[in-house]
Amino acid sequence: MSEQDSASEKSVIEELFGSITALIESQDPYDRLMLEAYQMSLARTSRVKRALEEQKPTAAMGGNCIPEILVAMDIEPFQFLEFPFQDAILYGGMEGLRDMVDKSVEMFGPHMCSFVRLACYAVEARLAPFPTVVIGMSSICDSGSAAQQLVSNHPDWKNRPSYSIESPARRDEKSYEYIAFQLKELVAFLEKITGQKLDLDKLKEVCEISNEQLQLWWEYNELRRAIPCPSDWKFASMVNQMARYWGIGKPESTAWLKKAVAVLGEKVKAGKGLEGIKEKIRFFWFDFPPIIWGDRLFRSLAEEYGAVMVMDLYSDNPPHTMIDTSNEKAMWMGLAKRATYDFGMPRIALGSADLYRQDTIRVVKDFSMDAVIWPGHKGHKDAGALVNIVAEQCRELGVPLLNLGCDLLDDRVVPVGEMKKKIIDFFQITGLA
Amino acid sequence: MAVFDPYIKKIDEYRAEMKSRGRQVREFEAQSVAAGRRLRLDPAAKPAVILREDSFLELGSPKAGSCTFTLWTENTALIEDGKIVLIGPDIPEAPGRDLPFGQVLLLGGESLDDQEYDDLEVTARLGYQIEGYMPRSTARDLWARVNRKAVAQGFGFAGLGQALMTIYKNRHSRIQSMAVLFVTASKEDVKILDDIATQVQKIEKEISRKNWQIKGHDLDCSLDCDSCLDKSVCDTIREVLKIRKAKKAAAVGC
Repeated sequence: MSEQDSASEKSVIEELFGSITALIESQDPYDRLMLEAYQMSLARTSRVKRALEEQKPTAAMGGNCIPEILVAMDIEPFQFLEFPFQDAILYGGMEGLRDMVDKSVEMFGPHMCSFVRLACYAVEARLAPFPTVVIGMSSICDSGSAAQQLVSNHPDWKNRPSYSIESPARRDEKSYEYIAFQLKELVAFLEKITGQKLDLDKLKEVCEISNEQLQLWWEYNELRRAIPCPSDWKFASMVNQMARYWGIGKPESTAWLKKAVAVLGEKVKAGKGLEGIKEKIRFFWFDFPPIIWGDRLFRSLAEEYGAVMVMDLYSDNPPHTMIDTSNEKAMWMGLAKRATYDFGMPRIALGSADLYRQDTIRVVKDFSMDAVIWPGHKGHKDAGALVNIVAEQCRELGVPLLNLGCDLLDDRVVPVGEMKKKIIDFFQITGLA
Repeated sequence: MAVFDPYIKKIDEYRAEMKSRGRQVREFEAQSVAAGRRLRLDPAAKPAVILREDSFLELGSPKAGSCTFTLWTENTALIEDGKIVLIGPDIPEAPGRDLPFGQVLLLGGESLDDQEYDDLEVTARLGYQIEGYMPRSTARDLWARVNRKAVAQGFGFAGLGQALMTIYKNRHSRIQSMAVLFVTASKEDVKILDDIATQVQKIEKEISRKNWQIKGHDLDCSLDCDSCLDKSVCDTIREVLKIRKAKKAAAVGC
């Protein structure tokens, strides 16, 4: 067993977040900010758990959905899998998580996306907390659709209030109007269920804060162009969470994002990259980062080969939809576009394959990438069909691509040591290392 | 390649319309951009970061609005080579501002064809080779920063247009003539360009789709429901969804 494969020997916190102790002791502004982000994340978790316990309005969401509306209505949003996942790790460590993964495989077989399969298991094993409402969205993700079916038909869940947004494949005014119509319908539904009315002025305020947060996110991302790159993937994930998930519409998140831009800006001015890393290779990780085993892989690649993961698909944020709050219609249209087509999986997976190609050109050129790593997550079957297009585009750009093959959750499918070996071979064969 | 010719004419009409609305319209000749106003280009450069505090101004931020697209034709007579048109304030006239930004590149070449498109798409991302300029863009938006030092040394739209022409002509030997339109007058003026961009983008997507089909890849289906073999399946799903939604709405009474 290689060093990278010995995750279970380490404490869970260390595995997921690096050394918290070191962060607490550090005086480096970058580390201080990271610590502050973790504290904010924990405070938010406690708040949502309290809301669940006290049966205050909460909404379980399947994907990105529409946090702005929920925040404006004082409904706490959370991801379906969030708490069973956290509890498994916090109470059982890596072994606890792996035990849960194994049980989910026994129940649903190995072919679903592991994250969604865990969510399904949490429902079946009665580990998932009951929200006030469930909000879903149509998706290209076959596992996601299966999970929605499970929730819709499960005896514990089928009679719970739920609303599912249907996203058309087209991206035009007509589609946005259709989604905006559904969002208004959703609000009426939420008002009926929770008894809490949407105040349009409050929604406007949240959208304006959210607009500012997105601009700060873009600002932060631009700083990642710098050579050497001043930010690691964990910091990037935190920025993503602040600007696009639990920090949306919260002034304290805006304050954190401003500090992040300032701290990173200072690092760029000083020509500083990641602490202790001499950057030699910059690569694009063309999927979301593997939160469980990412640190083991990326840290050792950076430390031993100077190979830095500069951008991933989920902390990249190319579209520029600002919600126009000058009138109500424009606001709904802006929310519709942002909710369904701007970010992450809804953006890329519901669009045409051309988006993958365009993203490849943009990220490779703008961020001076030396290589593209296509993780090939076994759950992302839709994306698996597109790797040849991305590979062809990479060939035209003169940048090598590695189709890795992995499970973004469970590193027993392809062990981290094995992945690292493949990546190093790839760097050596292509002359990068 | 005449498919963009009507849009090139639309750009001429747009320019005339802006003039008739009283916008400040200035024209420059790339060949006569003074040596001191020419911008330094480095083909080996990597994209640099220009911090907000070092920026003289921003162009086309999401708040201010932006739009960019490229039109090309084999009818070189339609393109006045070296012409740079600016509608609105020039860079040195707008310190500290966040200007709306429209940029249209017009290319002419007797042998320019659809095959050139893929490479043009890459060239569109090479603006960072211009010293003091940090463009960041998607297919249709262009958000840029110009640093203070560059403006002090004469960075303006005449120089930017000329530099873009150099980048394009160096990479594409088939380009015989090139003109550039910049718009910074107002968000509304850029929005009019964006409406043209919507149509242009549809054509570009089709060109790209065909180019990649030749390479053996399908980028998109036609999205034409009437000719789709699975239409009946989708119709059934929609009916089921309608019924389920109606049932749910009835259950909660909304």
